[in-house]
Amino acid sequence: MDIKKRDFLLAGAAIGAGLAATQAIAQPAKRQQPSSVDMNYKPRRLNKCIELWEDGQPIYYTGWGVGTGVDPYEQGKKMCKTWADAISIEMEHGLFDLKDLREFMRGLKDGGGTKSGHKFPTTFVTPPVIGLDGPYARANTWVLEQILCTGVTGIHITHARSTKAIETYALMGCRYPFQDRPGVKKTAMQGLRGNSASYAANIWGVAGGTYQHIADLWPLNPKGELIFGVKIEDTYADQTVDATLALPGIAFAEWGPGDHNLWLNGYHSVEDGGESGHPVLRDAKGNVTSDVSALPNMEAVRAKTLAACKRNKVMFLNAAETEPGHNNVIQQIKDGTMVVAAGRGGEDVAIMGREYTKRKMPV
Amino acid sequence: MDIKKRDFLLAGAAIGASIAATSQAAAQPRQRPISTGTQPSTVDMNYKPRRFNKVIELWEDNQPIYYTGPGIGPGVNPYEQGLKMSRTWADAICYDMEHSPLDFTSLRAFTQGLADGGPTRSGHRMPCVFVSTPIIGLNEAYMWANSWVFSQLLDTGIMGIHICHARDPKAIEVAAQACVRLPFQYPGVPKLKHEGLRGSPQNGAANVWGMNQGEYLHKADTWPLNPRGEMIFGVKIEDVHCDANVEATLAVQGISMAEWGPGDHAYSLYGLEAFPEDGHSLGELAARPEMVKVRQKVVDLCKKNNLKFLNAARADDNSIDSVIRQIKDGALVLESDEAAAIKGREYTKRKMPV
Repeated sequence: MDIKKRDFLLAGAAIGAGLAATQAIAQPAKRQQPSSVDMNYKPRRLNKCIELWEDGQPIYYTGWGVGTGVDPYEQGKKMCKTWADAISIEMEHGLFDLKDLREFMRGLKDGGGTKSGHKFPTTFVTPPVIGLDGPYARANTWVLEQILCTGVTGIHITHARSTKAIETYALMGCRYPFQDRPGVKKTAMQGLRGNSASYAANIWGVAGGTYQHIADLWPLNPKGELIFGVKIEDTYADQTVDATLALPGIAFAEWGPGDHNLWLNGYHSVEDGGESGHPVLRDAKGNVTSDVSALPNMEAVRAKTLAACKRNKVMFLNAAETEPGHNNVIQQIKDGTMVVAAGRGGEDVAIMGREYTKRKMPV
Repeated sequence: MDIKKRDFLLAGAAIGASIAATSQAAAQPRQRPISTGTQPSTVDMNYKPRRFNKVIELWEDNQPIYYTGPGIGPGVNPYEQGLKMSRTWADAICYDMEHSPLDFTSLRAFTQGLADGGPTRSGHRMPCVFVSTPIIGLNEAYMWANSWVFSQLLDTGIMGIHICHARDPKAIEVAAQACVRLPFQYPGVPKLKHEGLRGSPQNGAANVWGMNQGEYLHKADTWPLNPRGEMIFGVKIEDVHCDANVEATLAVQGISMAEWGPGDHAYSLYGLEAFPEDGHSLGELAARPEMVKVRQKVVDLCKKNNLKFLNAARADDNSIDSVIRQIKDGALVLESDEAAAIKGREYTKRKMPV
């Protein structure tokens, strides 16, 4: 995971803990609307992120803020009103706790809807199972089934090393077995999800039959409301990235600079007693003193993932900040980023980006 | 799992439940204290710790370590129990998840409690805590498929993994070298067959260890493979399939300790007949020749491979598990109660405070 995202998700957790402790919103969202906003906007579909992508708009995400001492249901209710378009639920290193996830989703559902008119923000889970190889993925498809049955609207697989593993997760782990969906290309692997996902249907506010019709991967299925992402974040994933991102069913991809730095630059790239990963460090005047993500070998793997995303119409994910430089959110959008990890800048990053892209959907 | 250990860990849970129950009625006596505070007569109360993991430090000083269970069970708040267990008489806590629930949230709360309750009398941040996992050493493909479970466990800030039914050396190699390690080629550590699989970031575990992430990444490696490593890795040679491969298994790089699991071994060697339905005892199964033989093989291979041998220990000198007898036999990891630990520590002239 990208370290900037890590810090951001931690901040989310801290806010969550603060909320639990004080029963008050510690850092209320500014909820600043872009000047181009249409306050009469009506949503067209369940998944807010897909709707934004269909309109050529980037999406901005934050963490879920669940941690020790945080009631997941109450946190879900609060997070329904987040400034972010999507919530990343980190279970790669965060704890794999399906009960907490169910409660969080129930809270989101009961949170009263978003300003854009959607039932809740998009949620996607980074599961603890990685893209190691085909047999590993087949053995762990049940993990994705369990996660999806909580009502989340996306999956984000780390260490997407093996194309076969990603194909297995996406097409078997995240889909129903229908091979006769109207207008959807038949795939080699058939979905493994089973009847019934009544809890998820209830969270989505639809009948069980409707859920099975729309709980499919976009853009493979234009009517699908689930998103599936991958992290090309180690040297093994780099070798297979072209084939992996050409798979049907993938909606977004990132280049994972935090992990990539471990693999490309080794032990001595992590200072003993210092920060891990690749934080952009600045002096008191704001001048960059260290930026691992700007190293040539890091830029090369990022460029390869970005190019493969553009070639395959997959949305590219990158962290962004408000400060000038290559990670500035406007620069990232110009570069093709459509999934923005708002980093330490948080909501301010999203405000800057939304203004730049003249967004109409309310925040 | 060793049947005696199982009973012991269950007793620990009962203690936890008892403590939880007594929080509402403080006058009710505890069945077994967290610690009597008994020090060996050789103790140095000015002792200063040299490293994070108390158990490795004791082993470096050629001292046996003594462990107990976490006391987690129904009705026990894991964070509060962690706070209490930070003061345990034991050097280490074996958190059993082979038969107890795989609950990462409870484990994380427990380790946070341990950290918040510290330091120990020895000056360490917390006792060593290792998890006996539900993932067994079945075969290589099984181990790869379940590698994510180890990441989840280690991300809670524990310091060790103990694998049950270590049947297949290839499975153990995957667990010891890929599942529990980060992908670095650490200085002075030989290049292994498998690269570490653990990923970035490690904020939760680093927080429990009281370190920033950089320091955690430098130290979260297995000892003695990495002399700076603060993690331990153990295996249980506890059935006839394990016995067939034990020489290759205990030669795998990255292992710290091993046991012979008499409870499961008795299942495997003697079957159902050794466990009468009416519950009557057939005597000490561990004393039977077949059991003595498999135990001795594990003892010998531990010595050959410089691994720490694990056995149950009792204060009773007449027991086959007499703590003095076990120490003389080379056991350096002792599943015991406090009475046996007091006796053993006195015998080995321990300096580190309890």
